[in-house]
Amino acid sequence: MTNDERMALIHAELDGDLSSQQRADLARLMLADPQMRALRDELRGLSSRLDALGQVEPPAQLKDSILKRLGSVPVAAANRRASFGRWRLAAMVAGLLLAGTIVFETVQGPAPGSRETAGTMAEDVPAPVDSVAVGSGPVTGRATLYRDKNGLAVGLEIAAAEPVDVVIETAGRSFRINGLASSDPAGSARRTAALPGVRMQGQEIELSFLIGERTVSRATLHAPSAP
Amino acid sequence: MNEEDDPALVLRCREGDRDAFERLVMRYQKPVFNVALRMLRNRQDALDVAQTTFLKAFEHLADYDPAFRFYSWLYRIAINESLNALALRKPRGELDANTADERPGPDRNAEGDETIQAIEDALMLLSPELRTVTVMRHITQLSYEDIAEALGLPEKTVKSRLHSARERLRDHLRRRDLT
Repeated sequence: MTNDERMALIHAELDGDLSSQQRADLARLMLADPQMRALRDELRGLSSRLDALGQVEPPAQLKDSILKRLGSVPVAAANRRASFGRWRLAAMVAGLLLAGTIVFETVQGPAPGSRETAGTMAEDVPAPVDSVAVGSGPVTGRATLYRDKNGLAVGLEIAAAEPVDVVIETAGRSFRINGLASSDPAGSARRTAALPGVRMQGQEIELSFLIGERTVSRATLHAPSAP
Repeated sequence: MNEEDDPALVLRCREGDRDAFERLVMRYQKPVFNVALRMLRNRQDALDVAQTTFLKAFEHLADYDPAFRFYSWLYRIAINESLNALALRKPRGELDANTADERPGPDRNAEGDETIQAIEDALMLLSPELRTVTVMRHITQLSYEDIAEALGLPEKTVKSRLHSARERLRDHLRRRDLT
């Protein structure tokens, strides 16, 4: 048994997480190795002391100060989300123009021309075409498909504990947004990505959300056929 | 007392019921304050963080996913706010009795202030990542599953961080001959 394995047994015991087999292994280990026994006793003592630190009562004014300030906070933001306004969209487009982290990867199909790769939404106000909630799990939020005179774009407003990469796949093409993260821990990260060369032809647009290259959520947007 | 559960209270909050939010504040103000206090070791900073945590939670309730436990979401905000507060502090060297902030002062007992203070000192010597899991496990008594959910980390990462944290804390106490 390696030292790491022995330490893992000791910690598992502290956490009440031992199987009967592991318990027997640990008992043998403790009998055979006085140093490990001493180490186990130290960690047990430490764990007990940490638990004993306990919780103090918060200051009496905490609750009142929170409730007093609630009046200046918008009531539950559901309405705010529903009124996803043009000003916010404009901010997202501005964010797109500034962002240097968006990487477009063409998997198949013709490579987009240079004038197609960025900033194609700034000339008029895009119209939402479809919108979908990004499910449960470590990534939540909303994805919206927009159309303007230059083509399609995907707007993302997501919350996640870690930076998220988003892969957008449609019509044999693949686009990727790297490292989408919110600077506001309780808020959402927002980004709009133009999809150069993609037209509305009744296809589905698949979104995969990755943390550390592991897909943690998926969503599908529908681009109806152009009128 | 009617112990309405968290999802029902959150639903009422989302409909604009501020009394429901007051119930959530009363339910969680103590653990949220203590998370911040142990992360920051300063009562005023902890008070500010606790207040901000609840206000942000209220403002962003529409972003809360009911598939997760409300308190996990709330603690995540508290931890992030605490980390932000830490990041705003001036860089410091290793903390000792001279540089440590105001003591939380909880639960002094027969074991002696020296050992408790040594543990509090040692907690502040941990990296924020290790301190976070230690506080969530030993102060708020959350399970590994809850901590993993709150931090958006795999359980095995939480375990690994906690094990490292305990061993570093033990090393620190050893150096002070307090094991």
